[in-house]
Amino acid sequence: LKHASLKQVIAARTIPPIENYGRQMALTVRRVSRIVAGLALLLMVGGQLASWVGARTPDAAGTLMAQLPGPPAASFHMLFGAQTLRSPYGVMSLGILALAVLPTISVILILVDNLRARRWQEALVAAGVVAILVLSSVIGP
Amino acid sequence: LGGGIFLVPALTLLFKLPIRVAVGTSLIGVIATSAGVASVSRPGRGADIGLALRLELATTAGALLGSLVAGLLSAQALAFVFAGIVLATAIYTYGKTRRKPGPATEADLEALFRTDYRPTHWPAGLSLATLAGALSGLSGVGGGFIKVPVMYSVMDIPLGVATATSNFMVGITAAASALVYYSRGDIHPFVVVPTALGVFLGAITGARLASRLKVGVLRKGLIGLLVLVAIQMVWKGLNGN
Repeated sequence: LKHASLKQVIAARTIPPIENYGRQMALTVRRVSRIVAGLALLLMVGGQLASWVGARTPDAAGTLMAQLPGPPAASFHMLFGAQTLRSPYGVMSLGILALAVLPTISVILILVDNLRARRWQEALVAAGVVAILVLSSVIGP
Repeated sequence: LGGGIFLVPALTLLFKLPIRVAVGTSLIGVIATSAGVASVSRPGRGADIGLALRLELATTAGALLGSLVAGLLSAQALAFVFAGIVLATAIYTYGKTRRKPGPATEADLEALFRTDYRPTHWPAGLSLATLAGALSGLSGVGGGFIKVPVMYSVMDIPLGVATATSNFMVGITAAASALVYYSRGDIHPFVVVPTALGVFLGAITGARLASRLKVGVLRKGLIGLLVLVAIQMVWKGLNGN
């Protein structure tokens, strides 16, 4: 550790974490992160592959590169329609949205943990952060 | 690093994408980095979660404001803002290289992560956290280069705790801005998906390699790269393309 940087020390796990929330909650956050991130990656990879196959050109990837940035992601309204999973573009948009809401899910888990432990003030702070994150999804033009 | 400091210039200068699309993509990249690290290591290790969420009230509000303002600014103005942020990051990184080498003894390590602190100067801390969030929303960077010094120098948080807390906050701040960029139509799947996949894999690899890399050498290379990027972004702002 003689010449280790701060981040290396954290990465090397030589320091016990401050137990602001229980070990069980930390593991739950990690598990949920893996599941949601995995789902998001699956949707994004699946959508991308399907869009290449769907392009039906010998150089689909090159064609897509030439068209960058391409169309914007599907709107929230369109995403919750029945057609979303039938379109590679909708599937990719859904994957991006899953990744974008992952931090919100982590904060919700911390909120639930605080509510269960009756740490009301901590729960109120977490609820405030969730409220701003929800507001950000509806406030856009 | 959340990765935004590299992604935005790469997407605008190499791929010639509009800066708002680059910033939106970068924000999803920052979340992917955060998710990648959280999936391989214990989330919030060493961080003060209570402090993080209190500061996040200010940072996410700032991020929301910054991302809304980004929709009103011209591409040139955004390029100048980004160049300023890149230069500030270069100066911050240079400051880190001039500090004495990392902790040598158990006592030093304990001081970095001591638990007997009490955060002070909340009004200043929250104001600067709002600024960090606003800059994140404007430019697509994580904002750690503001949050860590603010927590350490202004709020009297031990450096180790401040760094870990800032790392924990990055993804949450980016999420607030990313959702605004998504609603505005600045998130483009054909750009975001390959970028997010690459960033996610890079973050997992980086988290596993972190303890084996020579950080001093990386930092010196990074400073040079950041100065070059800042010059390029100023040039882009002046030329308006």
